[in-house]
Amino acid sequence: MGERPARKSFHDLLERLEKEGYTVKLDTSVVGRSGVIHHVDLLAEGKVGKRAIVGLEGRGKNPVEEMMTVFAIAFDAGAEPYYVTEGNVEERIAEFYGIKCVAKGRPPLRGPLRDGTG
Amino acid sequence: MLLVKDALSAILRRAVPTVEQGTLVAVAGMLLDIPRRDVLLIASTEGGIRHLTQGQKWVAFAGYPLLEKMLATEPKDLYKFLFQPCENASLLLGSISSESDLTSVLESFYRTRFGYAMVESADSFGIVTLTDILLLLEQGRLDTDLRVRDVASSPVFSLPGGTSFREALHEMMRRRVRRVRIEGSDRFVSDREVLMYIFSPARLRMVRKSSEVMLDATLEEAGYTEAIRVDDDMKLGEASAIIKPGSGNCLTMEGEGLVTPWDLVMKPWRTGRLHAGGGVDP
Repeated sequence: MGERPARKSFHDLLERLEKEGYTVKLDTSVVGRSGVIHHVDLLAEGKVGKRAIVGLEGRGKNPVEEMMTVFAIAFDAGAEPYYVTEGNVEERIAEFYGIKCVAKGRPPLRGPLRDGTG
Repeated sequence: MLLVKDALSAILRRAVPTVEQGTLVAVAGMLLDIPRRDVLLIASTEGGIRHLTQGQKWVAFAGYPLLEKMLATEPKDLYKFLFQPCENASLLLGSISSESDLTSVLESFYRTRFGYAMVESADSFGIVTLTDILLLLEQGRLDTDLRVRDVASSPVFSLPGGTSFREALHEMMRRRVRRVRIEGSDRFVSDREVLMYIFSPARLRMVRKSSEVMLDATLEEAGYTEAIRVDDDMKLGEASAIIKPGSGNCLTMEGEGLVTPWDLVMKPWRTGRLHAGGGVDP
């Protein structure tokens, strides 16, 4: 049985986003198509309207709930969802919802990913 | 009848499924299925977990009431509804003392028409569901002389596969049933399959473009469970063992007739034929 390929690290993701011209904001908010203002740990915005939203593990919810929140906010904001984790997240769920999991790797960026209601 | 604290002591020790106040309806809706659960209590997490109450009642989030709220929402507003805090789609659950007898739990099921209820002791609380009562039947701690044929519903509520969710849900709620059979098949679609489909990424992508289409999907597009065929003379304890917890399964017999977890528990109780048995302690 083959081993699962190692996850990209959060550091690699940031580097890639910056290299591709994304503007990265930490601990910020984004307005979704619903009109709701969502607070996010990281929002990356590209030049052609591309967006990525990154949620960090460890705000007290269980990982599945955190992943679902990242998915829903990214979905509403028209962004790609990323979830930064050290744990063994449910790969099946991540795959079903199209959430890309990345490893914390370096330093502990912490922030409040909240599903705010504006 | 058995006391709740004796028959169902385990529910006061197990984790209570909880969702944080402010969680989006879409997220709470998805969480109902990972793993499959009937109801989530809503809690504030400021300064520790504190479950929300209103008066003496617990604030909770559950699938069937969620669908009722969606049906009552203007189709153009359904997308926005998904991004409201889950407490906007909540229900209030009264609680039963663990010192009460099991009849209180069944009365609560019957009164609310939901197969779950809150139970409280002096220092703990939990949610009891129909699945817990089925286990008591399976273990012989509850017993009845009725057979599967005695509790089956017939005719079975059926609709054509091309019926829209909106139409099907209206009819299910009018009849207060959770399942509908797709005409000409042994396939059953329940409120849970409808929710799973609505909250699937593919369906959400469609709804993002046009809110109105959310409940326009048809029964045959949703997932389904196939009824398990059983002998009509089967004892209800044996039938309870066939329905696996959280499976959403139901039973059918040769000929016509549907048996759900509700039928296995509530019909014997309503007819005075459910009593404490001599089975082993769970």
